[in-house]
Amino acid sequence: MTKITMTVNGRQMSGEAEGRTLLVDFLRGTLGLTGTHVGCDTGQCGACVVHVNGDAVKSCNMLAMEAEGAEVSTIEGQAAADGSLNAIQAAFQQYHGLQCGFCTPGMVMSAAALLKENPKPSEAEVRKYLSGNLCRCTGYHNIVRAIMAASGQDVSAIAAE
Amino acid sequence: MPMDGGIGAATPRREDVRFLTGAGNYTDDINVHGQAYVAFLRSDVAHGRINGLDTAAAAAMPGVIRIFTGADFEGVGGLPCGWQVTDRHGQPMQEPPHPVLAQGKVRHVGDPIAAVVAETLEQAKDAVEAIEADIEELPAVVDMKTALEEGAPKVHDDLTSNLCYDWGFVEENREAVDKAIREAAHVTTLELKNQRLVANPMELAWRWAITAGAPAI
Repeated sequence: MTKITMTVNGRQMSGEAEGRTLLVDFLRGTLGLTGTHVGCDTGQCGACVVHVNGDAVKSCNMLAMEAEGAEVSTIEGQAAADGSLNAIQAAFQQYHGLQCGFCTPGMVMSAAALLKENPKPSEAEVRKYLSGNLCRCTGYHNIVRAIMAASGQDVSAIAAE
Repeated sequence: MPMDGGIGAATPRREDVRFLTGAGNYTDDINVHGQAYVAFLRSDVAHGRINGLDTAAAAAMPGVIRIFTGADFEGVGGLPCGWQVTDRHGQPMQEPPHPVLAQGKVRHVGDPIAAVVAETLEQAKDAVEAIEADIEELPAVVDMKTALEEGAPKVHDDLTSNLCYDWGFVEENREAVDKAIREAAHVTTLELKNQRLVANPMELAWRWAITAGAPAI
């Protein structure tokens, strides 16, 4: 076991990890941040997406030790300090972009990464960017609407499901 | 557009805020005192005979509480098919037994062979790797057409063939169907392949169980 330290949602956090410990297991098990989920363990579902030094990564595909000294953001750090939802989270609620909520943390983190690099994505661009995030409840439609609405675009032309 | 009020109105869901902030409480988020973990040894071949299973070394590893194999479930019954289908000729489908852990044979890649219960998930996974499984690989079929050929290796030796059922609504309307096809201006014949259909939720890898006098898994 080795002690590793990273900045998670703006706070420096440390814990013990084995060489094989995945970043997602370190976040969930060691740091207790269970908002990041494991749906498949094989890099397909995207429920474990977090940001590492600003980039969206699937935290089940990264070793905890690779994040030593990194800036990590997770779903727990997305709302404001007073608990109010950020624009993406609020749009997910308003446009019913979630049902069971299991994929939602990964969806929100992927959406945040998308809007950072492409502030006004087209519907096709949103769908392409989300190809690594699976959802079994919504059929994706309302997730796409939520993300486009969060980017300040008019989604009334995108038919409601 | 949805209405703003009354019946049919879209209303914000109360549970959304916790799901959107990472504060949901899903199965794998639950931790109780004394909780144990299970990991499975799964088949890496599509079809094989289990000639031997040595769990002694695995059982002696740190943290291992119990190892289960198919032998522990003999006579217990298996997983029943939840939807019994009658085929297009009115015959019931062939339903083979589905043991919870493989007995005698493995029938697909990922077929569970043994379950290791340990104090931590890492210990359970380590012990899975220490199980010595002597599996004799048998010929396999990996597409539907080949599976139905005469003499194809059978997935379940005790069934008459690999056909579970032939389903459709053609027989009950045979004459009309034949007539429609006969009189059609153009008939297209094509081979349709469907992928494996599995209705699983996203949260599928986790179970939480508790039994009297035993640690939670």
